[in-house]
Amino acid sequence: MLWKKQIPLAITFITGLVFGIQYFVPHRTSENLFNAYVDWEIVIGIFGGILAYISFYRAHTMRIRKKAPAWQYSLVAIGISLLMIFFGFIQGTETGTFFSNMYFYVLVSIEGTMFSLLAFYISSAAYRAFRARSAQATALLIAAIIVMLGRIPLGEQLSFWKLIWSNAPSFTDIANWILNIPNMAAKRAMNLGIGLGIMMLSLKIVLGIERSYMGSGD
Amino acid sequence: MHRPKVQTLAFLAIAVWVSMLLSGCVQESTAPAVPTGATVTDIPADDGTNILIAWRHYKSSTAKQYSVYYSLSKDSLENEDLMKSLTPIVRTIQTAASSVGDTTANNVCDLDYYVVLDDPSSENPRVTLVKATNENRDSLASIGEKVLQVESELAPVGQDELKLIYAQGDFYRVKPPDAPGEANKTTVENSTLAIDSTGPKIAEGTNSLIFELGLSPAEKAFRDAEDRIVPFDPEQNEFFLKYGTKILGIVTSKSRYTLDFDIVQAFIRGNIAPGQTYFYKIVADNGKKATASSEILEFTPQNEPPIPAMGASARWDAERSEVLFNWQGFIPSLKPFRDVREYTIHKFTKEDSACVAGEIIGTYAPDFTSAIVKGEFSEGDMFYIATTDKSDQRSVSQPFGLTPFKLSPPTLVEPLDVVDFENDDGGALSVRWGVPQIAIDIVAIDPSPKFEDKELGENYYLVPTESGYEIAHLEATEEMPIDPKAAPIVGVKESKLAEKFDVSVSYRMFINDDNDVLYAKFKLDDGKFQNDFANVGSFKFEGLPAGEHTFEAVLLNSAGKELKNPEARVTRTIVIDRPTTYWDDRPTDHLEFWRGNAEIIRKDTVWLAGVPGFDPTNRFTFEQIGMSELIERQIKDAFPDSLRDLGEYYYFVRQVAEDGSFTDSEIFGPITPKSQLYHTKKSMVLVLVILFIALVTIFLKLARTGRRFYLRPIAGIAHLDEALGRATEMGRPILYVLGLSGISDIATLAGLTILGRVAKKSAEFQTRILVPCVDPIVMIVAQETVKTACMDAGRPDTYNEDDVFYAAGSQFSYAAAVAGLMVRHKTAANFYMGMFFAESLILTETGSMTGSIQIAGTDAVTQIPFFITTCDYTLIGEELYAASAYLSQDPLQVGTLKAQDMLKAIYMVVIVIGTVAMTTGFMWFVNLFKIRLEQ
Repeated sequence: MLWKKQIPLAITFITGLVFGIQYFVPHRTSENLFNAYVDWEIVIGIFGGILAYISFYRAHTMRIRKKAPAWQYSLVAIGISLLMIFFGFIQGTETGTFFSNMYFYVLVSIEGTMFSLLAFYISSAAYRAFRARSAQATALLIAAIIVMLGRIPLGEQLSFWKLIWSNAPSFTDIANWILNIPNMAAKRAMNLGIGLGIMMLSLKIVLGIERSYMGSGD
Repeated sequence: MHRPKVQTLAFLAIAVWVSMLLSGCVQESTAPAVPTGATVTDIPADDGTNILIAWRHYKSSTAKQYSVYYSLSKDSLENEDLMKSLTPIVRTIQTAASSVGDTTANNVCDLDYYVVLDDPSSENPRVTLVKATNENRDSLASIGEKVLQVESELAPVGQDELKLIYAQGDFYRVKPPDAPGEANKTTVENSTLAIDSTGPKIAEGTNSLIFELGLSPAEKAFRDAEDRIVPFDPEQNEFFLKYGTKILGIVTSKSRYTLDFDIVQAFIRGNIAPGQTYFYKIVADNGKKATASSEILEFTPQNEPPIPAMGASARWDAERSEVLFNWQGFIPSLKPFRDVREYTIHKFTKEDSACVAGEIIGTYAPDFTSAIVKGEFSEGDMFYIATTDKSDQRSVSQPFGLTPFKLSPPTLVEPLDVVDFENDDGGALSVRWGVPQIAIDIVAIDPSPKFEDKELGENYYLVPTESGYEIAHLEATEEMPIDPKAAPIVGVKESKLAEKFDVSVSYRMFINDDNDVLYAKFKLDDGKFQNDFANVGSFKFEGLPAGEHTFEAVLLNSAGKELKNPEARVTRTIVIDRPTTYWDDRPTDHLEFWRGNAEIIRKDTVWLAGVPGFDPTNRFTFEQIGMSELIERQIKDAFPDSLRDLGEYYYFVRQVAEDGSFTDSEIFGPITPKSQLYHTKKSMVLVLVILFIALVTIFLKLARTGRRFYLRPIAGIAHLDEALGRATEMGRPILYVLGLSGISDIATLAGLTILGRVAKKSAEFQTRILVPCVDPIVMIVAQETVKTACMDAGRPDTYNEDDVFYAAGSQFSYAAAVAGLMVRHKTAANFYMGMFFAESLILTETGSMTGSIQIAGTDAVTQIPFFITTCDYTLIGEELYAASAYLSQDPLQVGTLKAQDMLKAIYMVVIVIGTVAMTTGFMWFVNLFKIRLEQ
C-alpha cells in the first residue's frame, strides 16, 4: 500500500505544489528546476518508448502466433519497422537514404490518404447534422449554409441584394459575423468552463482527492 | 475483406513493392566537385590570429559539407591518417535539387555556337561561347565542341553518360519575344499636362500624370535582335534580367558544363599564431563517404599594426573652450576582429613630424569614436590620433587642425534611470528614459481614382532629366539618332482630383515598462473620441470629404485617464486634397549606452595607460553596448550566460545631437541584476487560484459534514453503464481511446480517471477492454490503471496486459490502427476520452458504421461538433473533467464540483461588470485582468 498509494500520492502532492509555486517565481533556481523537469520528462519518454515498442512487437507477434484475422498485416508491420530500424542505423536518416525515402514517399503518402478520407466522413457527418428535424437543427442548417457560402468566392457573387443596397452585408460579412460573434461567444464560454475544469482536476489530483488514474478511486 | 487469399495477395504485393523500393532507393554515390578557386585572406589590422578562406561551391555538386583543415606541417595534410587527428572548421551546405528543364526549348543546335575552353586541363576551365561562321567553323570544330543544349535550371547530375565539367562563365540566352509586351508606366506626381505654343509640357499642379511608354531605342535594339547567346554585360543588367535567361549549364555531345557556383567562406579565428606559416586544405564531402580535396594552400597570417584613425576632426567652440574630437578607429564590418587597446589624442608639432612625442590630450577605450576635451586652444593648434593595439604596435592619423564650430550639446532627456529588469531570472538590466509620447501617421488614398486621356500626337518622347522628366518632340535622322534613354510616349492619362478619400490613421506609442500606459484614444475633427481598447493602433475613415481635417490622439493610463504631459497628446491638422502620406517627425538626437563591469573589461584585456582594468569613475574605461533613437523609451541589456554573475555593473548614457556634439549622463551604479522571487504580473492569476482553493476547502468541509449536493444529470455519464451492459450482453469487447496527447495534457489525465472507473466495471462484468495508445507513457499509466481496477473489482484474472498496447506513434497511423481494431473486433462500445485532433471523425465514423454505442468526451473545441454528430453521447468540455466525480458520487469529489460551479458564478458576475466597465470607460477594472507575460 505504501509503494502503491502513499508514495505516489506524496510525489504527486509535492511536485504539484512545487511546480504550482514555480509558475509564480521567475527566479533562476525556479527556471533551472523547470528546465530540469522538462529534461527528465524527455529522458523518461525515451525509456517509455522502449516499453512501447516491446508492447507493439508483443501485440503483433501474438496476432501472428494465434493466426488472428488479418495476421499478415502484423507481419508487414513488424517487418517494415525492423527494416526502418536497420536502415536507420546503417545509412542514417538524411535525405536520400532508404529511411528518409520510406518516410517521405510511403508513410507521408499513406497518412495523406487517411487524411483525405476526412472529406468523405465530413460529408456524411454533415448530412446527419444538417437534417432539419427541429427548430435548432434548422437554425444550424441555415447558419452552416451561410458560413459555407461566406467562405467561398461564389458567396460574394451570390449576394445579389448588394446591387440594390450596397451597404447591406454580403454572405461573407454574415459568415464572419456568425463566426466572430455568436460562435466566438460560445467557444469562449466553453473555454472558460474547460479552464475551470482543468484547474479543478489538477487540484484534485494534487490533493489526492482524485486517484482513480492510479486504479482506484476509493 | 479478411479472407486469407486476399490477405496473402496483399502481403505478397507489399513485399514485392518494398523489395523494389529497397533496390531503387539507395542512390548511387556521386563524388562532389573539387573545391577550386580557393583563396586565403589575412584579416586586416587584426592581431594575426584570423584569416578568411573562400572557395567555389558548384550548385550541382553533391557536396553537403566542406571541412577546412589547417596545420603547421604540410605532411599532416597529405597523410590521411594524420589528417584525422586535426579538428577542421566545418561548413554545411544546403544542397540544391537538380532538375531537368524543357530540353526542346533549350535546344540551341541551330544557333551554331561552340564551346572553347581557355585551359582544358584545369579543374574549373573558363568557357567561351563562339558563334560559328563559314570562315571559322572548321577551326572551331577542331578546338571546341558544338553546343547542343543550354540549361537554365540546375544541371542534373549522374543521369547520363556525359562527362560533368565544373566550368566558369556568365552567359544569357536572349530570344526576341513573340508578344509585343506591355507598355511601361511612369507616374509623375503633383503635375499637370500644359499645352502652349511650344507644345505639351509637364507643369507643376495638383494632379498626377501617368505615362505609358514604349521601348527606348536601346531596349528595342536589345529586345528585337536575333536569338543569341551573349556574355553578361553589367551595364545592360536591366535588359538581361528582363529579356534573357541565365545559362546554368551547357550540353555538348561529350560533356555537360555546369556554370553556377557560390563562393563559400570560412573564418579561422583565434586558433592560429601570427607569423607562423600554415597549410590549408579544403575537403568536400557528399555525406556518403565520397570526398574531393582542394590543393594544399600555404599562408602566413601577420599581426598588422592597427588601421590609423580615419576621418579625424576637431570642432572647436571657442566660447565654451571645448573641442569635439571625432574619429573612426576601425572598419565597422571588421569589429569582431578589432585589435585596438586604446586611442590617444596628441598635440602635433612640426618638430615631431614622425608623430611620436606630442602632448597627450586624452586616452580612450576602443569603443570611443568621439570625445569632448575642455581647455585653452588656439587657432593654429594641430592634433593627431594614435591607435595602439594589444601588442603595442602603433599607427597614427594624419595631423588635423581645429575647425571653428558652434557646439550645441543637447539637454539630457529626463527622467533617465537604470533599473533591474522586473520579473526575470536576474539576467537583464534596463535603461529607461523619457515621458510617454504618442505620434500619428496618416495615409490618404483615393478609393476610386479617375483619369482623363490626353492626346499628344506622334514622335513624342519622355526624357529623364536631372530634375525629373520632360516631354520632347524628336524625329530620328541619320545624323542625330534619338537619345537611347528617351522612351516613346504611347499614351498619357491625367488624374482628376478626388472628392472623397479613404484615410488610415495609425498611432505609435513610445513608452517603457515604468509607464502604466496601455492604450490610446483618437478623434477626427469635432467628433467623439474613440478608445482603442484592443491596442490595434489604427483607425480607418472611409469616404472622408476632401479638405482640412484635424486628427487628435491621446494616451490613456490603465485607469482610462488622460496623461498630463504634453507629449502624450498629438493634434495634427492637414489638408487632404490628393493621395497623401503624413508621418510625424522624430527627434534627430540619439542615445548611446555605455556599460562598465570589472570582470568583462578584464576579460577583454582592455586597459588604459596607468589605469589597469575598469575604473567606475572613469568613463573612458566603459564599453558601448548599444544605441537607440531618442523617441524609443527603453533598452533591455540582457546578459548571455557568459556575462552573468559578474558582480556590479555601471552605466552612463550619452545623448548625441545631429551635429555630433553630445552630453553624458551621470554614472549609474553600482547595480546588480537580481533574480526575482515573485512575478508581479501574475498577481491576478494568484488571486484566482487562492479564491479557488478557498472555495474548494469550504465545499470539502461541507461535504465532510455530510451535506449532499445536487448534480445536474449528464446523459453521457448516465448511459455509461448501459454501454458496458450492452457490450457484456453481446459478448464483444469495449474500446477505450485516450486521445492523441501525452501524459502532461490534463485531458489525458481526465481520460485516465474515467478509464479507472470503466475498467473496474468492465472487470466486474467480465468484459474485455481494449486500450490502444499513441503515447508510450500514457500506455504505461493506462496498463497500471486497468490492472489496479481489475484487482479492485476482485477479478485480477480479467486483466490482460496485451489489451492495453501501443498502436502507433503518428496521428493517422494511429487512426488507421484503431479503425482496423473496431472493424475486426466489432467492438460493442467505444469510449473516446481525451484530446483529439483531425482523426476524431475517422474514428467515430468507423465506430458508427460498425454499429457500436459511442461516448466521447473532449476539451478540443474544434472536435466537439464531430463527436456530437457521430457519437451517441458527448461530454462537452468541462463535463469531461467532471465525469470522474459523477461516476464515483464521492462527496469530496462532488464538493469540488460545487466549488467549480461557484467560481463559474463569480466569473459570470465579473464578465457582466467587465462589460459594463468597458462600455462606460471604467478601464481600471478591465485592466486588472490584463496579464502581460511577454517579459
